[in-house]
Amino acid sequence: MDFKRLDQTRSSVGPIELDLIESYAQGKVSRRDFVRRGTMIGLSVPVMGGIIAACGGSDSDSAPAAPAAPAGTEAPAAAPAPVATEAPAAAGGDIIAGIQTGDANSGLDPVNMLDLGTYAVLSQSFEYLVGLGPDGNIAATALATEWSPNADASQWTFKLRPGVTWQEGGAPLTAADVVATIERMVEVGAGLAGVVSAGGAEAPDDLTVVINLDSPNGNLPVLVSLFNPQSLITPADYTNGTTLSDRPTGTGAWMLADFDPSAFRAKFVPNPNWWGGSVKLDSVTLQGFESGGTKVAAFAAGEIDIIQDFSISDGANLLQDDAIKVLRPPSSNHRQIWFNTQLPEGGPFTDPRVRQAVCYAINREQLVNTVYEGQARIANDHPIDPTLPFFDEGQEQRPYDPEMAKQLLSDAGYADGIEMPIQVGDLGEIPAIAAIVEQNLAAVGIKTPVSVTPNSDFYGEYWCTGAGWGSQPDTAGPGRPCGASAPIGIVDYGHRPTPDIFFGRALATDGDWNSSNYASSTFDGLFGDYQSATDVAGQKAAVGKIQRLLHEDAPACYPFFFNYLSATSSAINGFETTALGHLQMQNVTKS
Amino acid sequence: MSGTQEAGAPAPTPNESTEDATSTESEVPAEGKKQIRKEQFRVLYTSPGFIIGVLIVGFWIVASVLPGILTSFNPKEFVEAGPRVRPSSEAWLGTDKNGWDVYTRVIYGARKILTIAPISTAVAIVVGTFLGLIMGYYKGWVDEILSRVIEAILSIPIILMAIVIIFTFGRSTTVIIGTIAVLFVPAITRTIRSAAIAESDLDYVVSAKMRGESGFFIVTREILPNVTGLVVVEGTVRLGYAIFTYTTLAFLGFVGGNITDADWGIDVSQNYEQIARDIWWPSIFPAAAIASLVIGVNLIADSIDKAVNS
Repeated sequence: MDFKRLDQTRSSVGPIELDLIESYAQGKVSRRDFVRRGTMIGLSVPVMGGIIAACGGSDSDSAPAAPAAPAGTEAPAAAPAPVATEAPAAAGGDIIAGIQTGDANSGLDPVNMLDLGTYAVLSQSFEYLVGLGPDGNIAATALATEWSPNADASQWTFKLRPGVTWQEGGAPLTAADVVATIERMVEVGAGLAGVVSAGGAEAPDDLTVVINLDSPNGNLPVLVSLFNPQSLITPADYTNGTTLSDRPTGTGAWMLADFDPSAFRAKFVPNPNWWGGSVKLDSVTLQGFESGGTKVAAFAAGEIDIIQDFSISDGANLLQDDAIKVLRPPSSNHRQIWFNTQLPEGGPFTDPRVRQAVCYAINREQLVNTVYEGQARIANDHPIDPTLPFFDEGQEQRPYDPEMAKQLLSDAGYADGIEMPIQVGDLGEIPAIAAIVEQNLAAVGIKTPVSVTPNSDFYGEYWCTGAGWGSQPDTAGPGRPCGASAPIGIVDYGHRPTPDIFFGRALATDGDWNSSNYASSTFDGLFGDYQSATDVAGQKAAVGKIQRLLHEDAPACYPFFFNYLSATSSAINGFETTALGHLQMQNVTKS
Repeated sequence: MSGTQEAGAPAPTPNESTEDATSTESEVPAEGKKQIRKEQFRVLYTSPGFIIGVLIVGFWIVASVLPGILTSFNPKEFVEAGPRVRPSSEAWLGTDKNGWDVYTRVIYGARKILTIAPISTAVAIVVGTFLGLIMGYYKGWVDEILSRVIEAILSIPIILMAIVIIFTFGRSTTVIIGTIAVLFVPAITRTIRSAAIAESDLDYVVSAKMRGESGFFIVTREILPNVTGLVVVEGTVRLGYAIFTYTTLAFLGFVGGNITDADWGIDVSQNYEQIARDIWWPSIFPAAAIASLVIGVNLIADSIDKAVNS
C-alpha cells in the first residue's frame, strides 16, 4: 500500500469522501462498491484510480455483496456493461427504435411524465444533470462535470459543463436554468418532495448550482440523474405543463424535427451545436407501440432497429437469435402487490397478519419460472436490490409457506377466507402475475378475482386514487396520500440505482405513490437515517432495519426483481440503455 | 330478410278463432295450417345444415351444462405438463402461459357465452318485436318518432356505442347483457316493423278493427302470431351476432368480471401476442370455438329461414 499517495488524497477531501476512502483502505468495502459510492459523492475517476492504485491495485473485487445476482445482470464496475461493442464507424444512416406508446394525457411534459415511452423521447433533446456511466451507474457524463457534498451532505454543489447551449436561440445553459428546473420539480413532487424545499437551490455563479436540502442526503446525485427521469434540465422559462412538442429545444444531441402524437412517433435530427461533438447518424425515429407483441414482431421482421424493452413472454425467441444483440442493463425493476393498509376501515388488509399471510402464500418460484421464464430473481418483500452495497444479507428469505399463511389468517379471524378483487392494469405480464397469485391465494382461502383495467385508467381509478385526481371521491388526507386506492392490487416499478425513490414516494407517509397508505413513523425515521447516512455502514444499519420492518408490516409484497430486456439488430453499434427505457443514441452507428 | 318476408307476407297463416278466419283474405282452414307447419318442420329436420348446426350447438350446450363430463381438469388448475406446452397426449390442446390446460378452458368457456348471448338476444327480441309491432300497427307520429330514434342509434358504430354504454354504467354482466340487447333492438325493430306494416293493411286486421278490438288485442293476438316465423328467424340470426359481439367485447377487455375465468374472448386476447413466438394453441383453439358456435347457430338460422319460407 502506498501510504504517501493515500495521505495526499486524504488531506485534500472532505469528511464524507474521507470516510469512504478509509473504508476501502481497510477492506470494508469492495472495489466495486468503492467506485460506485465514490461516483455518487463526486470523487473523480483519476482520484479513485489513484486511491485504488495506492491501496494495491487489483485486489479482490470479484465478490460483490450480492448473493443472488444472476449472470449478466451486473458487470464489474470497470467493465462497460450494457454497451454494445464498437465497430468501424460508418457515418450516416437512419434508425427507427420501437418504444412504448406514451401517455397521451400528459404529453411530452418533462416534469410530469410517467412512462418509459415519454422518457425515451424527451431524453433525446433534454439532458440530465447527472448521466449514465459505463458500468450502468451514474457518472459525470451529462451537464454536471463534478459535484460534492458538504460535511454532513445537507448541501450539494454541482459544477456545470461550460459551452453548453440551448437548441432554441443558442443561448448558453446557465445555473439559472438548473435552479428553475429544480424549483419546478419541487412544485410537482418529482422525487424531490421532502428532500428540497422551494427556494432550496441557488446559483452563486453561471456555472455553479448549490442545492440546500431539508435534511442530509447522501444519495442526492441520483435524484438529479437519469434515474429520476423527471429531472431533465429545461430552460428557465419553461413552466409546469410546457411540452417538448409545444416548444422544441434542449441541450442534447438530438433536435425534435417532427412529432405525431396520434401515432406517438417522434423524429430527431442531429444538433450541430451539441457540446459532445457530432453524432454519427442522420436521424433517429422513435415509434410508439401499444402492444408489446406487435413491437417484438416489428423488431423480428427488421422494421425497427432497436427495441426499447420487451417482456420475456413476448420475446423469448429473441434471446436465442444470434443476429440480435440483447442488452440487460442493471435492473431493480419489480412489481409490487400493494395493500391499502388503512381503508376500508376494518377491512381484512388493514391487519398486518393478513398481509403477511398473502406474502407467505405467494409462490415466488412459480412466478419467476412461469411468468418470467427464469429471467428474474426472488425478492424478499422489500424493494432493496441485493446487489446494493448497503443491502443487509443477514435477513432470512420469506419462504413459500401456505400452512403459515392459513395459520396467520386464522389468527387474524379470517379462517373462513376473504374475497376481494385484485386490481391490475393491462400492462405487459401483470395480468399473468395476477392469474398465478389468484390461484396461490385461493389455496389458502383468499379469493381474489382478477379485475383488469386499461392501463391509461388504472392509476387514476385504483392505484393512487382519491388523492385529488382520478375519478374517486377525495378521500386522501394527511397520512393517507392515496385514500381510496384498491384494497389489493399490483403495480409496476422501474429500475432505480438506489431505493430512495421507492422509499420516498411509495412507502414514506404522504409519499405521492404510496398506494398502501403506509403511515409508519418508524419507517419514516429509518428512511431519514438512511438518507442522512453518508457512509455505507450507516446506510446498511438503517436499511437492515427497513428490510425487517417492511417484512413485518408488509405494506406490500415484493416477490421478485426481473431483468430488463432491450435489444438491437446486429447492424447497430454503440447503443446504451437503462432499465428505465432511456435510449442513448449519441454514439450509435449503423453498419 | 325483411324484404323476402314482406314479399311473402300475403301468405300468412292466421291463428285466430273461426269467426276471425271468415274475414281473412287468404283463408286457410285449421287443418291446412297444421299441414303447413308439419311440412315446414319436415323441411327443417331433413336439412343437413340444420343437423350439423344442432350437433355443433348441442356439443357446446353439453359443455356449458356439464363441463365435468368432458374434462377431468379444473380450468384454473396448474397441470403437470407445465406452461406453454404444445398439444400432446398430456394436454390435448396444449397449455397456456399460466400452465392451464387449453382444452379444459375451451370447454368451461362455453358456459358464459351460452348464458349471456341467449339472454341478451331474448331481451332484444322481446323489446324489438314489441316496438316493431307498435310502430307498424299505429304508424303516424309514434312510428315517426321511434323511427328517428332508431335511425340515430343505428348511425353510431356498434363498438363505439358499446363502449359508451359500458363506460357509463360500469362493466358488469347485467350491463353487458343490456348493452348487447340495446345494440340489437333497432335492427330487430326495423325488421318486425316492416312486416307489421304489411300485415296491418290486410283484411283480417281491418275486420278486427271493425269489430272494435283494442289495439293491444290486435297487435298481440292478430298480428304477432302472423310474424312469429320472422321473429324466430330474426332471433336465431341475432344470436349468432350476439355471440360475436360478446366475444369482441371480451377480447377488448370490456366485459369486466374475473379475467382468469374461462372465457373464449378473454383467452384469445390474453394469448394472441404469443403467436409471434409460435405459441398459437392458447389463442387459436378458443377462436375456433367461437367460430364453430357462430357457424352452428347460423346454420340453424339459415335452415329455419328456409323452412319458414318454404
